[in-house]
Amino acid sequence: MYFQDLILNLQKYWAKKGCIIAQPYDMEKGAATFSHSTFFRAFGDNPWNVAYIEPCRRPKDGRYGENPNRMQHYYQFQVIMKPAPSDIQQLYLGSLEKIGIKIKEHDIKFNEDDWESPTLGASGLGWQVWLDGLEITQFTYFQQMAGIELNPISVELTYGLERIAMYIQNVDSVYNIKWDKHITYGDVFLENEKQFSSYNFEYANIEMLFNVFNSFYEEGKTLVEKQLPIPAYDYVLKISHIFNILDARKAISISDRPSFIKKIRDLAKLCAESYIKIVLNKNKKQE
Amino acid sequence: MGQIKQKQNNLLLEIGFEELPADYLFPAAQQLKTDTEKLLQGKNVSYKEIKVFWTVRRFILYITDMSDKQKDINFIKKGPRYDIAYKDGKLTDIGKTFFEKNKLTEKDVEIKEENGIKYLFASIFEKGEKTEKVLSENLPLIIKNLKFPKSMVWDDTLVTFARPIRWILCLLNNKVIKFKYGKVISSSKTYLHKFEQNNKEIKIKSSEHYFEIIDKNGILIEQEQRKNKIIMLINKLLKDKNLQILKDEELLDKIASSVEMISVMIGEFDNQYLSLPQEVIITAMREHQRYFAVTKKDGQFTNYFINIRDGGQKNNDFVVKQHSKVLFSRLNDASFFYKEDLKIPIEKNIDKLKEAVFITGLGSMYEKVVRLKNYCSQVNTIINYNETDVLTKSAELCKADLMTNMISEKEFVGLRGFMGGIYLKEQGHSERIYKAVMEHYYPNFVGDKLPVTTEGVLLSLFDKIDNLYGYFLAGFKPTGSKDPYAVRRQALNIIYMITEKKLDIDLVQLFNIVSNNYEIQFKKTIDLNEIIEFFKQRQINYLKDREVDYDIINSIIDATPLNFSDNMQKAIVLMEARKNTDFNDIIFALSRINNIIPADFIFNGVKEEYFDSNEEKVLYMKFRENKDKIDNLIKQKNFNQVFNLIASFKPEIDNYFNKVLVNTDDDLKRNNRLNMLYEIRAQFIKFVNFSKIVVDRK
Repeated sequence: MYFQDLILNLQKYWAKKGCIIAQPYDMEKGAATFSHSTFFRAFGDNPWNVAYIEPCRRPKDGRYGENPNRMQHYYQFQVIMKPAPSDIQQLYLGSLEKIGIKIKEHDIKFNEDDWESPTLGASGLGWQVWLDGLEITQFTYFQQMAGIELNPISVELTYGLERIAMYIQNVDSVYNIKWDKHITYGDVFLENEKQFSSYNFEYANIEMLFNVFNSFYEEGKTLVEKQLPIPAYDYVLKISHIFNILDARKAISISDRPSFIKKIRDLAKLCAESYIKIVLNKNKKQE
Repeated sequence: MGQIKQKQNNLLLEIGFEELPADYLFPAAQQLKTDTEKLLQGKNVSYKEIKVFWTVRRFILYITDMSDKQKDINFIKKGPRYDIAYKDGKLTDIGKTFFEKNKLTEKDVEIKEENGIKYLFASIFEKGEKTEKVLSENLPLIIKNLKFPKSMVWDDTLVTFARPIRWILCLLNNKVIKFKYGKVISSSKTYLHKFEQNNKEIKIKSSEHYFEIIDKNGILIEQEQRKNKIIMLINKLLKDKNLQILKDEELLDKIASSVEMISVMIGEFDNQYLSLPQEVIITAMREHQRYFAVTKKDGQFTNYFINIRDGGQKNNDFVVKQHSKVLFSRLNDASFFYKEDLKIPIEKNIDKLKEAVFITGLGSMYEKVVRLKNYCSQVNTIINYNETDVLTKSAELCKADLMTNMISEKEFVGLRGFMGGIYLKEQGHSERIYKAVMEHYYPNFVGDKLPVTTEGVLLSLFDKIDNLYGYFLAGFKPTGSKDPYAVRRQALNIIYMITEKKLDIDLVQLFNIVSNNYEIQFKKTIDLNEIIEFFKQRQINYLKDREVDYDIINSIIDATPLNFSDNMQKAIVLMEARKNTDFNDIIFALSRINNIIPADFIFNGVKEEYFDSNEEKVLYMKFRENKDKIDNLIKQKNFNQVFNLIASFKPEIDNYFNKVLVNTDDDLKRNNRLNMLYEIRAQFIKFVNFSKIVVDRK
């Protein structure tokens, strides 16, 4: 199964199960959870079922294209269902069958995992799903987003696409994954990995980034005051990514880390509170 | 005459959920059992036996032979005072409420006097409810009250459990007991194995039918059964190869708690990784992958591993190859870290410790190392040990491995200390230093391995006391049920090590040194009495856990609160002595001395010329003769002889109290007698405070 077919199959499967197939949000982010489709939609009473692929950036994980499993850019396939269906585990196992993994022929483990994203103030309980010893999915029932208790509860399934593709195609390096018959993952991304690793570890301008971190943070706060939580949230994404680059550059000492993370989390919380007040409560009144 | 067989009331409750964390299962299953016992006893429902079984996705409660209904009960209930219930012969509001609430008529109520006051007494009859009703009302509460370290909500009813509940099977004989928990309604359906049997739904007719179905489908609902099967299958697999698994009870327990079916497979990893320290390989296998390590019969480590699968055998050859691949990349990472770490002299990491946070608000690990070195340089003021150089050097190096590649990985963090020791050894440091570093995190719990070398023990002690003081200073002193940093456990580890290693140390002096060091670095301190009080309490718990009687603990701690090692020995002596028939009499005699001395008495010397009776002279003479001996025996820590010597005073004390009137009218004499008894008590109390020991008068 080619990489693109893996994605297409998952999309088809979840579309059949009632999810809209969304597209990525057009900004850098560390995980699919940061997308509007997850962050904002975790709030509110209305049902929300969505599946989407999301490119993720983790500057620190770059290895100049030299490590077979570690990249600063990769994909997550994300499914959000709200409220969480009671047969979600079976639905998930069905999705594995759909991509050629026969449940009865493998060693599948649901290993407990308390998931947490300190920068988003998000947490949930669930599992890491292991396929023959390899972690392939994070399965989480959200309990909190931006520090706010959730009800109804969303379930989040995050598939590690490259790992699954390597497994299905039986290749030892992510760069050897066949995208289609002719093109490999390496053809598409190897040069990016080299250049971005250099940038993230060596050339990112620390002073400039500290400056824009602060400017962006202020801009985000201003936008919240102007009751524009959605544009304000762009600045959460921006400062979160800048923080990650600064971290890769080892520009933030361990004792300073918590205060940076807190700033991101505080801004995310302001956005969420404003979104609930301005968007969700207004819609409620109109009903 | 043919007897009609009484109907047996058997209840079967199966709570089906999505996979619970392994270590939540046993405690919750126990609670399910005890809460059910309490319920049935409290509700007067009789039963023969309550059994619980569990797997990673079900709790099973099985109660046999219950009564059909609760016992009817008659009892007398005391009501309000007559003059409050009635005014001018008519019921007041309070009186009415009493009647209504208890559904009474005039004939149920009597007026009786109690201590001269008239009250209403109602004779109440409660007809027992049907057992079925009691269960359907209370089982949801039992589920709701199950405690987990972390719970969650999963639907808009906001009911909680550790993971979502997906079905509830509840049968009384062949009849469903209906109730609801959240959105789940109890039924007669169960679900088979999630992978192997596609979670197949089965309608259950009775408890017998249920156990038959579960058994027939190979679902193992008992932990011991699962553990035995795992071991049996592994042994079968390894027998021909002349191999065995490395014993790991904790891992076995965890794996057995995570599966409903068992299939075992053996895999291999590349021989080249056998050059890594064994502990690294074991950690890489067990922490994430949950594989057992395999050794030859003579204990020699091999490149095999064992994986357990929750399901059948199908495709296992392929499955185990995939596992080998994953393990390969983990070992490859570990090997890379190991080689990279060895390239850099570990001393170079010390400076990097400035970047590692110790406790929030209390600086870095670098500053901690500075403190540790200071404690080591003053070690001879705390304990009889003089090789400060070796110890100080060990302290300087002991945290350096925190900044290595290996220990920076979450997976390997459990090897801190150990890896530091390995790196020091490989880089040519002396055996005493690398051993001390290697051992200094032990013990991690009471009963754990202890450091073997003296330097290891002292470094461990300083490290732990420094942590403890730090937590207090940073405001993380445990209160009530709150102890997020497990400070209590750390204190117990300290007591455990001091006791087991029989360390003769001056803890107060150590606390003072620690306090001074923190003060220099952070300009703040805490009241040392807080720590001393805390340790006193921990020691009480420690001794209680070792089944020392409460009063004996008190008598010891009252005398010497911080001599953990001596105190354990004293406890052993006194517990042993208590087995003797004369113990009570001895304690009674000794306590007479205590009891007669007023609390505010001030000692001002004994004058033998005021003695006027022989018994007085004899007792005091015996005391003078033995006073120094007691001191010496205490110094030698020969507590058995200390007790025997003090106990030998009994006849003289008895004679004294039989003949001498201490509280005589003669002030001079009375005062002198009290002074003498005071002096004796002051000497005895160097051992223990006998007045805290309870005299059993039976």
